[in-house]
Amino acid sequence: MTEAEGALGEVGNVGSPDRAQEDLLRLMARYETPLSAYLSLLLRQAELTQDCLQETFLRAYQQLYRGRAVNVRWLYTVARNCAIDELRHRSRVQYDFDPPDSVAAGGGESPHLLVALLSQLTAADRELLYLVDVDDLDAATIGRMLGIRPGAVRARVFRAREKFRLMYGSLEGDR
Amino acid sequence: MRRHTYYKALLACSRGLSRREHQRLGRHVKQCGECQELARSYATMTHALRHQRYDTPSRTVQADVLTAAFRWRVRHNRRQHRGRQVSLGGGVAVLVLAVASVSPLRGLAADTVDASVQAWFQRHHAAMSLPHDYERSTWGGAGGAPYEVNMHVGAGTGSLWWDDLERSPGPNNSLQLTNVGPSIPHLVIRMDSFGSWTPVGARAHWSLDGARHNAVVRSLPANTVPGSALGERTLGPDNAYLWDFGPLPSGGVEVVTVTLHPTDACCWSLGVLAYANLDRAGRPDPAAAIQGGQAENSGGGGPLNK
Repeated sequence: MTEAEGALGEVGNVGSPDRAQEDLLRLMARYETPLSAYLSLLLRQAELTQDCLQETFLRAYQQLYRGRAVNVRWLYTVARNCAIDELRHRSRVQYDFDPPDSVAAGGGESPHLLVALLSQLTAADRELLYLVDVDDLDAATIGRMLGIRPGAVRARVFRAREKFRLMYGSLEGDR
Repeated sequence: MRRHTYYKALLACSRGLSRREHQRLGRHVKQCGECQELARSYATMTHALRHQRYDTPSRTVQADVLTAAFRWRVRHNRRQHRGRQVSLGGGVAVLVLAVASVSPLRGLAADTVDASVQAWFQRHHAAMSLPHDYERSTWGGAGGAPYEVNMHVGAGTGSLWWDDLERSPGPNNSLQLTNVGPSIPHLVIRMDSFGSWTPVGARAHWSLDGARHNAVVRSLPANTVPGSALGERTLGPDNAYLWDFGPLPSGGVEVVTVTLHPTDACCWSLGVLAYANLDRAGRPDPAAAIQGGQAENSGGGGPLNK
């Protein structure tokens, strides 16, 4: 997804609550599931995931109601910040996450092995791989979310992929 | 000539590349066996990550978000419109919705509402942004804090009619509705209430004043709900009450007064929706939804005043 593909809302659409609600429902139809999965990876708790998901879409509604545009980068940034705030609130200085218990592998791979491989990566690497491979975000969007240049995003993704590839490659080599 | 690592980084995150970057990368990969192997590895990695199962959102997320959005809009509009006076076409729109208790009472007119209408509301419940979570419990006190809601039927069918929501002291609360637009064929009011309370009992009195009738009061007999029928309940189709008040001409004023006596302890919230027309099946037409309002009771307590 690029920011342009995920754009909703129009600037100047002020004071039209019915239109804002329509846009909100379209946003939720499209991004509710991927945002929930992303937040669950970060937070690992269903209740926190629900809270952050609800907060993200409520803020999106407020933006739309005030005539401001909402795009995919905005959504993911708000969701990520909400998750980080939740983790900090719970006395975690540096956020970290492990894949939730429900994560399972498809295609015949052992779910436990994939979970184990992912858990060996750093939190930042896991998040990057998820955003690129699962949510299909581009480097520019991720860069704006994280406050770094697209080139830096690609370099970090490359390093994360190399680590995972070496682990995954050795897994396949054992078969 | 660009370094090999440059192309590896492009391969690692190839979404959003410019056309020029795509062309360069494509030419390089054609000639580089290592990058071809890398591309295959990344594709396998992507497939594995995408086909994992991740947590799915709760089924109530949409309803929760819509409810929160509705409440935010109410507070936002209240801040924007506080102190504003409303005058309509030679008349003053002042409807005071009087809700003093949490007991959901069935108006007499609801007995004439078709069961299919109730089923229709049940299906569209989530889309109506009706409140389904009460905010405060009320314990003690001699009575509820009266609640005043001013609502106006907007111009034409389906237009926004929500105006203000504020609390003001007074013995009674009632919902006053003034039509500032053209005549509407049907004024259908749906009220949903929910909450928890001690099953002592409740009484409601509905009255309807129409300005077009030159202030003649049309009152409905009081309804009494026995204590056995009360109890903790959540929002659902059984709690929805529908009244078709018939046509409301331009400039017409309708007042719905509900006086409910609080039971021992209760907390509640009430959602109100109005529709300006019925569809061909005689059901409230969703395209003709006027708007909803919300009233809450922060008071309560004391024995039932029978």
